[in-house]
Amino acid sequence: MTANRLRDGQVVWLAPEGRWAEDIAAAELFDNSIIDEAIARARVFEEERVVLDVYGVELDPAHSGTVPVTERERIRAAGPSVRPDLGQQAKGATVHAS
Amino acid sequence: MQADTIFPVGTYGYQQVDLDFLNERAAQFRDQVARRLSGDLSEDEFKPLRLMNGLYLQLHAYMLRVAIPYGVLSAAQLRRLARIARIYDRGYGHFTTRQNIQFNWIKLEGAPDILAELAEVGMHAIQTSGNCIRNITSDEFAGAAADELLDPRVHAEILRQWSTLHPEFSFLPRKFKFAISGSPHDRVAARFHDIGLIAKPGADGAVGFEVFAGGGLGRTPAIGMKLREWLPEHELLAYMEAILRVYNAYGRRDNLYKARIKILAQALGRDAFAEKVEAEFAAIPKERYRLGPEIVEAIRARFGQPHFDAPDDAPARLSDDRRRDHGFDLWVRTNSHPHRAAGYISVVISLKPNGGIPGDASAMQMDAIADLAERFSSGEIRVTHLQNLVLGHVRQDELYTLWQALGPLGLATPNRGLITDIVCCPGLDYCALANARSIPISQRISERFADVELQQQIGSLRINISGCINACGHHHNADIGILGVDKKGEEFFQLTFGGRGEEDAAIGQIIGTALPESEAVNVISRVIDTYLARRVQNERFRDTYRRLGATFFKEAAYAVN
Repeated sequence: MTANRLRDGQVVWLAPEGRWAEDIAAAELFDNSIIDEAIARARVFEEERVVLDVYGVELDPAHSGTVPVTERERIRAAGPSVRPDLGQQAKGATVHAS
Repeated sequence: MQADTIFPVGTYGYQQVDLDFLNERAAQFRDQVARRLSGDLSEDEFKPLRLMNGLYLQLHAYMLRVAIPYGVLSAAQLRRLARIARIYDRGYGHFTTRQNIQFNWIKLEGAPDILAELAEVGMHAIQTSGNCIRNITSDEFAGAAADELLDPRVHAEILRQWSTLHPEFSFLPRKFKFAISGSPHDRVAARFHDIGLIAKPGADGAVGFEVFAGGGLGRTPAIGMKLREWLPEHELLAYMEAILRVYNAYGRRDNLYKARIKILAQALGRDAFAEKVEAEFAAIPKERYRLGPEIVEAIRARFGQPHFDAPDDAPARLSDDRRRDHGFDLWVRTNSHPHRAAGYISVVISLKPNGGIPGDASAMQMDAIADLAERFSSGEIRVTHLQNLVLGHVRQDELYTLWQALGPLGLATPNRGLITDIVCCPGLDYCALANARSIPISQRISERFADVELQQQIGSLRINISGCINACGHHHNADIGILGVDKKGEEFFQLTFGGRGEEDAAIGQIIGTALPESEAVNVISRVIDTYLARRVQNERFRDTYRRLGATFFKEAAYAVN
């Protein structure tokens, strides 16, 4: 479950206990069968003005870690592929999978 | 007191009422942000307000697009942009194809402070988003070009004042883009704008405008229709008002993808479209909208003018410097433009270093360019729609010193107008709308053709790259256009050939299937090899392409050895 933090636009991922983490590795994982319910629950944080634009991100089953299927989400998680000095990738947490 | 002692050269000198308005606007936005954060405004209520102030939500953070009216900045304004990059962003900015600048890592909480800082130097982010008349683009050699009939910045400023917060045109069916050239040579891609204006001499010696409308790029590229062969200056505002009224009345609002004026113009056809405009124009009270010479002169008087005082031997000294230094000569050959004043020259500072990100400049570079502009070019900088910067008024005898200063800053790449002078949108690395990354393929092409001598051998050739069909990278009007597409989660690149943005405007043709990045770069290499082998003497790529035809190049491009 991902969103952007309202105050600064930072890409965040819903982690256990209702925490929003900057590193996708900390994200709580949801099975596809409960994704609609999970999104609905996460949208509470929009009403509380913590985040905006909540949606679910599909993970790539071919990877063992939390690697999104789409390039778009991999870039959101890591940072611009052309600027490895920026974004989460610069912190050594998440790296580009492609 | 002379005007040039009051106003910065090249930029319009705001009056106190203008500065008060900008400060009020910044304060208004500060209140809107506070109300959003406190919960008084929902995101649905706040989003149009932030967009009216150029604040988007992109992939990594909020993105602020700052307006640079007709692409002209004072040194003080560029320094302020550098400060914003350093304090509020991640130390750089991205110059866009609409002559604006974008900051990619903005915090909502910091945005009101940025607008306040911009207002201090007469800048803002108004009309950089939304369905209004956007930033008016113009010729980067305005006020300097030897072939200029009039300084288009004066009329661009008049159009800016007319359009800013125009109550009738603040909620158009869709965004609306103007370009204006003061030279009969179209350096602004006028035919690919909603309205394109090209200065033209009239029969009696007066200067007017050739008027094009209904051009555009995006998912439905269209070359503008010529509505007027010659429009007298005093009717400029009335005629623009007429076109906008027709668009506002008849433009589609039911379909986002069919809402631009180009769709209306095509649906009506040129003659019916022109008839509606002329009928509206006939009904407009001419005296009320008359743009008299006294108004034009009053606006012109608020632009500072440079002093030209080059020594008589300036051209000879430039020639000597070019003879002595081959690297300098290569740079002058491509990165300069003839000036109207004796002993002067205009300079293009390439923001396309080998393997770099087109249009990006660091805060350090921006500060340094501001310093160089003050030292060498009357303190004025222009942003080009091809994502470079221009120093308009450089003494020819000082050009070598300027070039030596640009080199250590990474700003002396001698590639303007060559194959590595690539126009490129931010693409999927930054943009929420993109389908594919555009910057990496631009870097691969830049690296492949990095050799300066090879680039000069290839000669004039434009590559434009867009990361989606919205075409911010203007891929339709380049010799070689590249469109990033998503195919089942994989990035592919569709190539188009034969596009042109100037007087002989043409939309590039797709010549084959979309390819993965590495193969697309190989195809471009094969096309260039073919061109070099088959061109006649110094024939430009576009002319060889036109002569030999799309089929010939398609076979060359997709040949498998």
